[in-house]
Amino acid sequence: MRAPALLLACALASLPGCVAVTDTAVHAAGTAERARGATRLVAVFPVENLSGKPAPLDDVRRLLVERLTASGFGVLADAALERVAARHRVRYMAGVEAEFARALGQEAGVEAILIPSLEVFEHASPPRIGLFARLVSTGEAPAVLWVDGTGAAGDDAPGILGLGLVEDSGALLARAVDALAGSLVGRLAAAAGPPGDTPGARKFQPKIVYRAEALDPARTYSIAVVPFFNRSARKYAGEIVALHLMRSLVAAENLSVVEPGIVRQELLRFRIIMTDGVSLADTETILGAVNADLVLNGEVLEYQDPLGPTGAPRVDFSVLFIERRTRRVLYSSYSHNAGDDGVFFFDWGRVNTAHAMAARMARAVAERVRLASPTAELRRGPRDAEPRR
Amino acid sequence: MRRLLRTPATTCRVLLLLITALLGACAPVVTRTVYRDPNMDFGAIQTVGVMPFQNLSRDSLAAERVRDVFINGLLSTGALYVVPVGEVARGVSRAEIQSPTAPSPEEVVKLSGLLKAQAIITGAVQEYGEVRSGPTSANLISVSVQMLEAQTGKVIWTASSTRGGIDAWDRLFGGGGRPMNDVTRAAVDDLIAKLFQ
Repeated sequence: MRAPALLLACALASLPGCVAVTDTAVHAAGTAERARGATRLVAVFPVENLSGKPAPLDDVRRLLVERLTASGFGVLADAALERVAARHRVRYMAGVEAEFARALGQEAGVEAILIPSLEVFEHASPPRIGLFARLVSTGEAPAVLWVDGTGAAGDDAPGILGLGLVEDSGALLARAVDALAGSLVGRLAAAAGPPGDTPGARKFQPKIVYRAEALDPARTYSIAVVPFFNRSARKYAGEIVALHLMRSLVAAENLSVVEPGIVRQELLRFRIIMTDGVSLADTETILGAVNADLVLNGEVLEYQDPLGPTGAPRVDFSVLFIERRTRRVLYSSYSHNAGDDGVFFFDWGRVNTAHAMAARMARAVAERVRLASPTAELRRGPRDAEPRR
Repeated sequence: MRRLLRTPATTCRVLLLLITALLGACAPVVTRTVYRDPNMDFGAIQTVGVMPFQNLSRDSLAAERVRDVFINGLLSTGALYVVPVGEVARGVSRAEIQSPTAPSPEEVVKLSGLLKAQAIITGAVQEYGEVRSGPTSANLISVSVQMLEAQTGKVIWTASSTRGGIDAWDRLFGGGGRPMNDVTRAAVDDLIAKLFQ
């Protein structure tokens, strides 16, 4: 083979490695232009740090603001946001309470609030990033309009001779922010189905599932997510898994999720302290206060990113849905996976971040909950059964 | 003896017997203990509460992990409804049970009334984690559970299961055994099978 042909072949082979590897559904490029038609004012909250370590939160927020501005959104100035927050004595900015959402709408003319959360940020080679963001409407009844996340590692697509390796954490962060901004713009402009709604791989299905007959796939449910119990060594694993599930549930047409900030507000108002899971009395109180049908609770037993370049992530959690009307468990499942599950040759199918794996596991749980498609029905494992009454 | 071993067929048979005996000696010991109250109508039990398991292993989270898998496994059979753990915790608090892992018969009666359950399940995790034998290691779990009747608080069913450990294959060729999650699920499946047999 001649030298130019060889070079071209190498370049073509390394191209997949240069593609941003995320689990975010980035929508078509033309949607950004459509979004520019009407300028919407968005308040971007400070980035919630769920990484458990110091992280460049200001950089993440700055990048997000830049991308939103470039896409034609108006972003509320920091000083104006701080003024409204100070006036209403709001310090918690990892979620939004009902009164504050209303105040932002009325006093600052904000249409929606963007709440970013940083799951992981690793500088060391290979760099690793996990990022979430959700958009909440302002006004009388704040609703979660969009949730998405992106997780990537520098060695997701190394390509031939490692040409696709990303060593710069800043470059990885920029890709992640681009993917999130693209997803948000696409969702708002297209006003179509939410992103990330593709069926998950079989290996990420929950290992043990209980699904009651009473859980009607045709009915519309609103869900309140209460904090998950974190029994893992990873700080904030409960919040992270709750965000993954929230994202997957919001993607379903007939499921809506109550903004976690509002749930938190009610938990504090009723002074609910959960020692070992949510009780039926707590369920009734919370669901009555936020006017939802189901409460989602669970526990995280393991949430671990790879410890080095050769390790594999591990995620292990269980979820429980309790209905307000019947006071019974409608869905319960147990999921666990490792990044190298079902990987036999050349790392084919390997998952490098806990974020990417948890996202697929959460998607599989949401599929089981709603059974939206016949394929989901077919994937039911041998352990599935309906209760005998 | 010499005369017996003279024929090749007999020699092969003796060798085969010896190999089988050796391999059998290398196999892990699996204890199968089940007790069922012959007078109990298990069909009448539709709702149970699962108490926190006692942890006798070195892993501080073993009891929570096994209990979680056990509850999900029991629910997934569809034959029994399991009261949510939060409701059990509330019941334990209201019934003022001093030791939730080992409640007295009176406490079981009181708690069952609060939970509206026909039985209470308690359990203990004896072994959970890696075991070593020379250069070989493998994951092992040993768990026992018992079911207590709501009306009297007496034991109506007990079972134990041990899964994982180092087998002949691991000893000869290494391999490290199965992942802990798989071993836990196998033990829970075994316990549930014993309950419904």
